[in-house]
Amino acid sequence: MMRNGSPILIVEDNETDILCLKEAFEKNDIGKEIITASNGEEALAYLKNDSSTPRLPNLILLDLNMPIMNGFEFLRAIKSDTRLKAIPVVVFTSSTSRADMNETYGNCVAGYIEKPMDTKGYLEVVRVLNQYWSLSYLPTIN
Amino acid sequence: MDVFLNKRKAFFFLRVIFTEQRVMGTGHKIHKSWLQEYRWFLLLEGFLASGIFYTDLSLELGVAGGTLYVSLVLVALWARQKRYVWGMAVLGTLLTVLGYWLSPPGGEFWKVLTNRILSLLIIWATAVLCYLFKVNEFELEEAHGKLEAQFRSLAKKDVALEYFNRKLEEKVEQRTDQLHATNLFLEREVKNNLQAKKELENAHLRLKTIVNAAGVGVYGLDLEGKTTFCNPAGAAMLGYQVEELVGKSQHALIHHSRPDGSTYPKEECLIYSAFAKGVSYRVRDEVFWRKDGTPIPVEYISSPLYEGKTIVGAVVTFKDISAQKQIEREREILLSDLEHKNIELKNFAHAVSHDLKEPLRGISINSNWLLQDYEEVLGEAGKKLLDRLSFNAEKMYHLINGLLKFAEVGNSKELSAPVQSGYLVATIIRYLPPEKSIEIEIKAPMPEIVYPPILLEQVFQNLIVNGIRHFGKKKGKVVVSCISQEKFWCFRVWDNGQGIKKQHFDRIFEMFQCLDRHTSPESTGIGLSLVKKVVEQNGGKIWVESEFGEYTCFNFTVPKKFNER
Repeated sequence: MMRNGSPILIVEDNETDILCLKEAFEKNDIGKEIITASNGEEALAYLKNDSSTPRLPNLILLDLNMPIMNGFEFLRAIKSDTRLKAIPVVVFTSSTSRADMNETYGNCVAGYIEKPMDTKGYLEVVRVLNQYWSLSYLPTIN
Repeated sequence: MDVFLNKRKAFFFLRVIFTEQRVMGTGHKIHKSWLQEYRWFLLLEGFLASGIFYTDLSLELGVAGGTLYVSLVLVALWARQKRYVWGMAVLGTLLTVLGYWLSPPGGEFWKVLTNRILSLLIIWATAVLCYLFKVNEFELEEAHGKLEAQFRSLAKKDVALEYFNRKLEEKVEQRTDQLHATNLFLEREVKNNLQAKKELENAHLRLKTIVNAAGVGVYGLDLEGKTTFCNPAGAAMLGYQVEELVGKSQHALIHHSRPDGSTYPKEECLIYSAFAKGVSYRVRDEVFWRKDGTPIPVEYISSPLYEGKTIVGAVVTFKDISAQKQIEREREILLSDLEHKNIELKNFAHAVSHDLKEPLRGISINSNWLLQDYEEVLGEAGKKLLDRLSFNAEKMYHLINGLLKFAEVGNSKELSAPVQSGYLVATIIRYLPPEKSIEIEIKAPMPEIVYPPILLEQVFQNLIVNGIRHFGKKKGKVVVSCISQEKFWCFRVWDNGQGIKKQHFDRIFEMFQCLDRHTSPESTGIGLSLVKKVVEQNGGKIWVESEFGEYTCFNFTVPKKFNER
């Protein structure tokens, strides 16, 4: 598999979702390295670590409902960081609440995707993501 | 004008001869010619002089012929001017002397001479007498003239006086009129004043009655802070008699301590500040102390009392707000309870949306995997069971979503904005899953309305999807249109599908009422009740028209004026 450019960061506590997403990426033949973090704190630790600088992700898929540091807190943290706020964040959640949608869009997310109910749905999600973002050709974030 | 004094009269004759001609007494210069004026006089004098001269010449020297010339001088009295007297005397003298030479000789020389000198003496003595007479006459005339002039000026003054008099009378008349008018005015004023006074008294009485009857306490303070009056209600609230309050220092009596019991210094008292600073205060968080030492929470307004521009004290109105305070406390408790409940509800919704949905998704996805990876092991029966499992999980998932959406309508404050309804419907149609057998049409014109865009989208989405989902025929169309009414826009979503039986018209808008439940996991029976809730919350109505087997038409209205909701 070809791995080009910066990786994609998936912040998600649900193993099933990560598995499904990875599978969907593979099935859509998107040669992207995928880094996972099981909550906001872990993800933030990775992003703030200097050694990871050359490998900063150029897209973050963010779940909202997570232990320790949830998606909203993580979003506020990276949007107030001058180095990290340029990375596009796509919310990927099971919540359909308008309040959540408004709050995340208020924090400048690039998209809001509801988690699908079946494996076909994941394929569709990744296909749409790729269509919209051209994942393989996303520019590197410095 | 020369005035001759008696002492100097004798010396004046010479001067008078050379003074210019005047008409004494009148003060007027004579404009007639000298000859005209004196022609008779001169004729007479000439006649006399020549007659006497002839007589003298015809007589012998020695006869005192010159004596006759006295008549010339006497006639000169007739003339108005004094100098003619002298003139005639001189003429007589000259003629006498001439006669001396020209008369026929006779008599003795000394007798002749004596005669002539005597004649001259007589002429001159007469002339002097005549002159004096004339002078006296002139003085008299002058005096007369003066008198007359004075009389005339008096007469003139009289005229002026009369004029002024008349003017004065006019003025007096005017003034009298004015006075009369003023008097009338004053009378009216007095009358009005009396009436006003009466009205004032009435008003005062009314005010007093009102103050006394009022349910609030009212009392007045002078500049020393002593109570000047208090209404019975106020006194009763404080447990005092009115007489016990009047004249006492209000602060020391009822306002000495704060609600917590600490001393309330007079200098900080806002009631006193009203007249100290000339500002009104409204205070809600203080207490007045009753006679029995218990505090009552009060709301009071302390306003400065003015007389003209000077502050003379303050008026304080107060009411017992114990009950109000109690209600406020209860309300606060209720509010905080409600807030608590709301937060709980929000948390509950959140929990439902996340924690209930996650395991459902797990079930669904895992059964997908089971199907994919263990297809052969499961067999047909197992596959069917798994399918049903996933169908039910999905159904549950949509139910939860629908419930959450339904709960959200009205809870979250969606802002209204202008929405181009035609464009909105077109967007919805574009994102619908493709359905070849059903044609969807938007009938122009579609208006621009003011509505929360997301809610409007939910309404159209549900109605259109509902129409497609329960179409029940192989082919047909869905038409979206709008009719303009007087106060409303009436939107219609029409389809020529299977229709709805009349007995179900009311039921379809009820929660979880789905007429064909098992067609799709997404038909939850929430959609139409959500639409109804949205439409009604935004000031509209929704109803259905249908002919079973023919068509179904959902109508809903939107107020044209945003404010009429």
